[in-house]
Amino acid sequence: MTNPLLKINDLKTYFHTYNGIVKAVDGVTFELGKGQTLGIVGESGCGKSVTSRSILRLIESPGKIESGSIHYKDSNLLTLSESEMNSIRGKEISLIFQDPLTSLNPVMKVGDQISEAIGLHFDMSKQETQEKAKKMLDLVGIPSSEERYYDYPFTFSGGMRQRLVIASALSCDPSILIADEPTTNLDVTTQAQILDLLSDLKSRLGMSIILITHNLGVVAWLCEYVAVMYAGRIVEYGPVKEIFKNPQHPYTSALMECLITSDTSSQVDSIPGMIPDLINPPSGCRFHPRCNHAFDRCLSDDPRLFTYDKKRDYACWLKE
Amino acid sequence: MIKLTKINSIFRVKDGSELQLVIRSIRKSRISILGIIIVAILILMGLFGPLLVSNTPYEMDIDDRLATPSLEAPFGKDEFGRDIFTRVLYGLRISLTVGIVVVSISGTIGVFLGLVAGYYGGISDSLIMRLTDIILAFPGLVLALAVAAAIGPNIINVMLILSFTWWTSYARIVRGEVLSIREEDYVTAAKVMGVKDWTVTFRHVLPNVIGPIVVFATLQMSYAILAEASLSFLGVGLRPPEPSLGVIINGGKEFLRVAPHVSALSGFVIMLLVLGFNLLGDGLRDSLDPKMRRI
Repeated sequence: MTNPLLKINDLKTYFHTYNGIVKAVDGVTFELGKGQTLGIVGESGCGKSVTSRSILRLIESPGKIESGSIHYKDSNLLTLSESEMNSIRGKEISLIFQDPLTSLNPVMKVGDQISEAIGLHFDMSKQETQEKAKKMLDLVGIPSSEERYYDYPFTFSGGMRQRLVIASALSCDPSILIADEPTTNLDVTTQAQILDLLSDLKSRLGMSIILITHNLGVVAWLCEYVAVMYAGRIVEYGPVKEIFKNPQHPYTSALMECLITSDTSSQVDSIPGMIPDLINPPSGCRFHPRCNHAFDRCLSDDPRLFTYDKKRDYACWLKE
Repeated sequence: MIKLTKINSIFRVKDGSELQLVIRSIRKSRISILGIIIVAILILMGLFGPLLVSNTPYEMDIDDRLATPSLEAPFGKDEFGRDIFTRVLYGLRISLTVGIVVVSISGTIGVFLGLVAGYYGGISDSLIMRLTDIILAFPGLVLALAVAAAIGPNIINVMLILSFTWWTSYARIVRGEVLSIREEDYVTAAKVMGVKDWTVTFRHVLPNVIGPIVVFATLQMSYAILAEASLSFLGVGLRPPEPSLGVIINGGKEFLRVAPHVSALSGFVIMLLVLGFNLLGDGLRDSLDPKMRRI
C-alpha cells in the first residue's frame, strides 16, 4: 500500500499481572488504507480487542503499550500528548463496543450523548450541535428523530441502541471506525440490519472500518482485507477473497472448517485444545500444540510473516 | 403453555422515566409518605412558626416559672418562665440549619473526594482513603467535643466541626460506586469520543451515583440534628439562652421531677424530626433501588 491511513508496526501491549506478564498483543503489524475495510478475526482472548483499544490508547493499568508504533496520517499516536490524543479520539478514530446495552449512559438523554462529542470537536453553537445530532439519528435510521432525541436509552431496543451507538461514534465524521464485535449481542435479523447499515454508511461517508469479529461470514460480506489473529499475533493477512479461497495458515483453515454450514448431516467442527496461556506462550510457533501439521521446526523456531504472491502474508513454516 | 396475560400480570411492566418510577414508588410507600409529612410539617414550623408567635424565645415571665402546658403556652414554660413552644420553634430553625449546612458542606467535600479517589485511583486514592481512615478512627462526638471546647462553642463552629469530620462516609460510598461505574462501557465510550477525564467524571459518572448519595444525605440530616442537640446539651454547642433544642432539654433536666414537660416535649420534637428524616431516608433507599422497588 503506497500511503496507508493507519499503519501499525510491531505493536506490543502487555499486562503486568501478579502471575506474570500477559503478552496480549505481541508484535502486531498491519495497514489500513482510506475507505478500506479490514476484518480482524480470531478466537476469544487472542488480542483483537486489546489491539483496537491500543490504537486509541485506552489501555489502563496494569496494561501498557510496550513498544511499536501506530502511525495515523503523519503522526505517531503513541508519542502524542493526552490532550492531542483527545482531539484524535472520536474526531479521527472512533470505536463502538459489542454491547449496546451498556454503551449508553442510562441517565442521559440519547441526543445529549450524541451531541456531547460534536460540541467537543466542532466549533458549533448548541443549536447547531443538536441539529447535527438529529441528522445523525436520521442517518442511522432512528424514526422520528425530532422526538427520540429527548428519550432515555432504556426506551430503545437492543438493535436501536446499537444504531444510537453508531450514530454517536460517527457524529464527528471520523476517518476510521473500529467496530469491536458490533453484532455479537444482537439477534440474527438485527445483526443483518446493523451490518447493512455499516456497509451503507461506509460507502456513503467513505470511512475506513476495522471490524473485529468471530464471525467469518460477516468478514466475507463486509471486508476487503482480513487479518487472522492467534495468541496475540497476526498469523495470516491479505485480501478476503484470496484467503477464503486458499488459506495458507493451518489455523485459518481450521477456522474455516468450524463454519456452520447448512449441511445438517455433518457435525460442527471445532479446533481441538485451548488458546495458549499468554504468560508462557508455547515455544516456536504458538499454534503448534493444536496444529495437525506441526513438525520439529515449529517447536523451536518462531515463524515470521512470509509474503506469498506479494499480496498476502502468513506465518507458518510449512510452505516456506 | 402459560397464558400471556398471566405473564403480564406477574411482570407488570410499566413505562416511564426513572424519576417517574421513583416518584410512583414513593407514593406507594406508606413509610416514605409518613416521613415526608413529618419532615414537611416540622420544616414549615421552623420556617414560619417564629413569624406567627407573638412572643420571643428570650421573653421571661418570673410569675409563670415551670408552668404546665396550657392553651396560652402549648408546651408550658421553663425555669425562667420562657414560652417553650416558642423556643422549640426557634430551636427547629437552628436544628434544620445545622442539618442542611452540615449535609451540604460534608456532602460536597465527600462526593468530590470520593469521585477523585474512585475515578483516578492510584496515589490520590491512597491519600484520600487513608485520610478518611484516620478521621474515622476518632470517635466522632468525642472529637467534636474536644475541638468545640478548644475553638469555642458557637453554632458556626459546631457546623464546621461536623462538616469536616463527616465527609468521610460520603467519600467512601461514592468511591465504591465510582469503582464499578468507571468500568462501564458508557464511560469508556465517552473517553473514546475524546471527552476529557474531568468531564467524564462529572457528566457521566456523578449522575449515576446520585441515588445512594441522596439516601445517605437524608439519613445524615438526622445525625447532624442529633449531634447539634447533643453538643448543645453537653454545653459545647450553642450556649444558653440560645433556643437550641439541646439547650432546652439541658435546662429542663434540673427540674425533671417537678416539671418533666420541659425536657420531654422538646425531646419529643427532636425525636419526631429524626424519625421523619430516617423514615424518608429508608423509603428513598427502597424507591431508588430498582430491585427493592415495588411496582
